[in-house]
Amino acid sequence: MTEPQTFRNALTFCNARETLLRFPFPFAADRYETAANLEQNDRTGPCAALRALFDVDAHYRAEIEEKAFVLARDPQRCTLLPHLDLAQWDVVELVMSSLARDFPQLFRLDRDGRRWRWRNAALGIDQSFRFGDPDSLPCPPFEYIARQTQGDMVLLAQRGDMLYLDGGMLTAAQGWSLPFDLGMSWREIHGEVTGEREQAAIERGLAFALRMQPETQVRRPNWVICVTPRLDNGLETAAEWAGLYEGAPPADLGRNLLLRVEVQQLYRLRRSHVILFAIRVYMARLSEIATVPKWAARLHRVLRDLDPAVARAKAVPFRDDLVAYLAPFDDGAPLAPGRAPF
Amino acid sequence: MLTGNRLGAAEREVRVAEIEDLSPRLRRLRLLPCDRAPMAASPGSHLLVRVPGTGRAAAYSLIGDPETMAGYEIVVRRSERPDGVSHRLHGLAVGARLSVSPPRNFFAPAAGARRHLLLSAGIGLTPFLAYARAFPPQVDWHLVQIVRPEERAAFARLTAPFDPARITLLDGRAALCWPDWLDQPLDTHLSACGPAAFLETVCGEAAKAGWVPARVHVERFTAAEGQAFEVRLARSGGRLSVCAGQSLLEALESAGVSVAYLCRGGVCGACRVGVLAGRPEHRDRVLDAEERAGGKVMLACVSRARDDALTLDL
Repeated sequence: MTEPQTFRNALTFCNARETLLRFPFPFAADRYETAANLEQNDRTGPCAALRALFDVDAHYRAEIEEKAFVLARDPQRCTLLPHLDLAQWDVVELVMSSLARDFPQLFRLDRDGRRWRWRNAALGIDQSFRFGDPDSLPCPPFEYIARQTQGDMVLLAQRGDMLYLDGGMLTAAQGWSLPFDLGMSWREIHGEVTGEREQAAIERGLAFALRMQPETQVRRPNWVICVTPRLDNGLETAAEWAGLYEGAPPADLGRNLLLRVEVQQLYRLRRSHVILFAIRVYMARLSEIATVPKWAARLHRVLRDLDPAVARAKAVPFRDDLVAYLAPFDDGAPLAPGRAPF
Repeated sequence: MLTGNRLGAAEREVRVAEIEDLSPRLRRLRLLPCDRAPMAASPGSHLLVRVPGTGRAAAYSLIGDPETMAGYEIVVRRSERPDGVSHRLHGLAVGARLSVSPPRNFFAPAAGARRHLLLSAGIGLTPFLAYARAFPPQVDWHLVQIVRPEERAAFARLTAPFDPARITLLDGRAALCWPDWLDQPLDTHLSACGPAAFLETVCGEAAKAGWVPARVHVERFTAAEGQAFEVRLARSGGRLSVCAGQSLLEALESAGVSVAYLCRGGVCGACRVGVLAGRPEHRDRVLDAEERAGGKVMLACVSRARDDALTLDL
């Protein structure tokens, strides 16, 4: 399998104007507050990317190819403990029905009792199968649909008053790893978080997740600045990317630095009571952000005025250079509130 | 009294598809959603059922996965109080329309248990019928069900689908010999459902027999979701009731009072409302100690009342 280039090479990854304008820009105000970033995941939002549960954009085929490449090189990136068999079908139902509803021109799901037919026009797939019968699909059901979905998914099983990361497919992780975290509890997964406020947030998150119901719809946009358009920044491949964050800043900042947004979503699965944590990754180069005046000015203000504790947690690479790069795009005039591009 | 029209954002309409009177006071209902949204639900789930034209709702456990059972199946015991939801449900005929919340689950079977001992009294049996339908063959389980003698036949009918060797029906609580039943293999999980007094006895007896709390699971509808209370709205002059099993936020939505919300889980703080009279029972994780003690503000999604009534700044 040849190495796909889109997410490996800063020169090939780019967003067409149309794709850029649907980017889930994360900053609604000039100052970034970590506290209030839970929002309703109800297919509404300031940009098109948030109007679908499992969003599909122009990078779909490239990302599916990238995922297949990572999995071929490292099959452990998709691992599920056996007690998640029922949850796998929950995920199949949730993702297929969402894709078919949100992108009817690309996906179609026909259900007749347990006889299902799934069509994915983007990948040329037409698959009939029996819901609940793993032998009727070419690979295990979770893997089957996760390979056709942009973004990562992990499954959290509830035992007692604790959640455990017992499976998932993680090919676009930012500094973590599924085989490393597999079987860990919620607190262990967040073990590197040390601040008192941050720990309190982890506990609040756990209490919330434990009570989540299938009707609960929440998402949380998270962001980070990257020095490479790589999707796969997992611990497994740190040798390939960690060096990029050290030393001198890259020559062409606008081209080489990217704003990476992870739209994180939580779902309580209906049959299994397991929690699905879905992470959809979007990237835009700084030079692309710079073409949207409101976003460029706002990103400038947010990065310039970051709270020191947040700045430490976010570890923004080459922050001073980045602020200097964005300054010419900010005339200091008030900006429209909200995350929309205009 | 305001009459509600919603049990929260995701309420759906169902019609009564089947009725079976198991005894003069026990009725099984099968409810079929009027839309085609997915029905599947995990074992231990319950629904809030509301009778149209009233703000009243009550929680009922599903006795099996709605997808396999072709509908939401519940069993309703007609209560002594003639004004309750159960009376209305006993008065319905096939074809009647009701509103239900989506299935919610705060009582999923203890994961990882190799053996389950299920103890239920009366209508407390219902979640365990869903458990029994869902347990995989390698899981060992036994159900001890306390019945009133006159209802033995009704409960025998509900447990008839299962291996009789796994079921014990006992006439009255006195027939339950605790030391015998609590003498179980160490890896057994005990789950119990029934009236509050029964659950207290279960917890007490289990503790006496050396069971650690982590192995004892009880469903307390009223303690988990809280008692009913009344609400007065100072600004609009409205009044409403929050039922047991319903949140203040849901009751406000039912009454058409719009309150901002996000997480509906006591974490984000969006549904903060001012309290003018009455003592809130804080169940959120947002308010600080001072706000809690002050009692002038509460989160509508999870918090309830320590008194019979609250007056809100709405």
